[in-house]
Amino acid sequence: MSTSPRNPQSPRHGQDPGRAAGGHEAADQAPDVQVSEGVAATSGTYNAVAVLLALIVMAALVYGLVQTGLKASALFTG
Amino acid sequence: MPSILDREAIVAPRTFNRWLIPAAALAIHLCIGQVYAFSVFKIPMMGHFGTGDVAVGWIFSVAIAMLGLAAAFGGTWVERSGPRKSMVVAGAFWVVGFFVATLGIATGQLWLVYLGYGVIGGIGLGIGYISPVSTLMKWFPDRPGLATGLAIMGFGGGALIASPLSNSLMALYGGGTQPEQLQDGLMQTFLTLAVVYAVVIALGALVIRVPHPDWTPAGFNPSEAAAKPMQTTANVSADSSLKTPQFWLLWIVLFCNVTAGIGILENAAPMIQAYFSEITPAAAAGFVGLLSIANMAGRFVWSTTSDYWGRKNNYMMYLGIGLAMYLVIALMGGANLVVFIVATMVIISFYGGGFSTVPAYLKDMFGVFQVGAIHGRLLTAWSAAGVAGPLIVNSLLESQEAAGKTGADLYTLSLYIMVGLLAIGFIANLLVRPVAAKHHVPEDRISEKENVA
Repeated sequence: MSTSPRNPQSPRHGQDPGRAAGGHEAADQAPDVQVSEGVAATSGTYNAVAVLLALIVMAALVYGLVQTGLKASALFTG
Repeated sequence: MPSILDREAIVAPRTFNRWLIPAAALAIHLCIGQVYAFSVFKIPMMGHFGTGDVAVGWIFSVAIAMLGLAAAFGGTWVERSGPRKSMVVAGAFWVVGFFVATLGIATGQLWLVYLGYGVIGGIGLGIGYISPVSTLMKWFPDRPGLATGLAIMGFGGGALIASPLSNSLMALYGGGTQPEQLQDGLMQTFLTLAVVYAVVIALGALVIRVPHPDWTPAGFNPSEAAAKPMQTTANVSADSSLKTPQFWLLWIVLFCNVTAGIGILENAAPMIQAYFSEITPAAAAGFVGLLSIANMAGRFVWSTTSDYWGRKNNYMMYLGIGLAMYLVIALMGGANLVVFIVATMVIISFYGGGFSTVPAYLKDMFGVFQVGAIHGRLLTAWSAAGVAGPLIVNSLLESQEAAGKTGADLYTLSLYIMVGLLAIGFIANLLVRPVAAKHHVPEDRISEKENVA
């Protein structure tokens, strides 16, 4: 019996997820995305891409906030 | 065998770190949020096409109208297809829209910009806006407000990034910051943005995952949700949701909150100058920047707090305190600059918070089954408010000017109308109750639909 929240849009709901628990370890040598047993593997490459994306997103947000902050400062100086 | 775009291909292992997902959602929202920075192209485009304010303004209006339509009609498809496929399709529309608009700029054909940025790009906006939202809520069943706040904050943040970036690119390609030079850099700027957005959205689509059916966050007990009176554990289909009073009450709530916010956002610069004659154009532009930060911060902060206070209570705050802030501006806004700035920032933070809290509110009311599709349909309230808000303020502005009024008096009537609108929204929110059981989808039918999909 699953203890997960009812997640009706998850794929293959009710399907045997037995191999999934090991999917993470097995996937360390796997390509980025595998279609096997309904579980996408997460390799070292995947983690690197995910971290790179997080860095891009954070850098972009900081750039936007700093630029807008500088513009906003004109309210008090301009 | 499913393709790499299908939902089945992106089911995460149970050991997956869910904190990798918000960056993927933010990636697409930061890109499509560029639409709020479209005004930076207005003057260069007017010069390039030799046309007026209204003709160029239509590009943005068409894009926003298409956003609402695409979200409303594409929501069910997005839910069925999963986040990766919908992010790829949204990204394709968004980027192709930029390319077609670039062609229009290169050939001097304004109609190609309407078609590209407005129609094609607008479809990308609608699909892209809803594509990661329900996925994030499934990753954060314990903190749905935080999840939607993270994603939709990106839409506000997109303008913060795109506005200075576009200005810098136009100056770089045009060889300077004079209007004619910015105009010369338009085409290359559009092309550059298209390539950047293609890369970032592709990375987002690559990183996005859906949770494993048996995954649950550590320490989360789903039965706790059942104990909260305004959070259902049942599910309502997108079609059935339209038959419930809750959907239409929330439509009114969103419409009123957005209309009131747009009323300020649209006229922020001239409004502060009308209230305080000593404010220079540069300082007024700074005020607009400050409101942009309040808009983005409100999307994250207020939505996150709704996980603790409850969605309904949050909207009481948006609409009730927002109403009070409008009254403060109407009655004493011109007396003190700090009071004016604080009141408008609070209103705009509530405007942003209203956008980011509503998907979690919908999840509380209708369950997670087709919440993305229901969210898409509710966004028609945004399209309607996008027309109504500026129409109310601008029409009243013209009539007040014709009546010989000046300064802060020009805005007083508009402010009182916004107070009335917020009062209507407040009452609508008060009337929201849990959805009747007759609208719930039986569990076995949900499983059947999954198998078909």
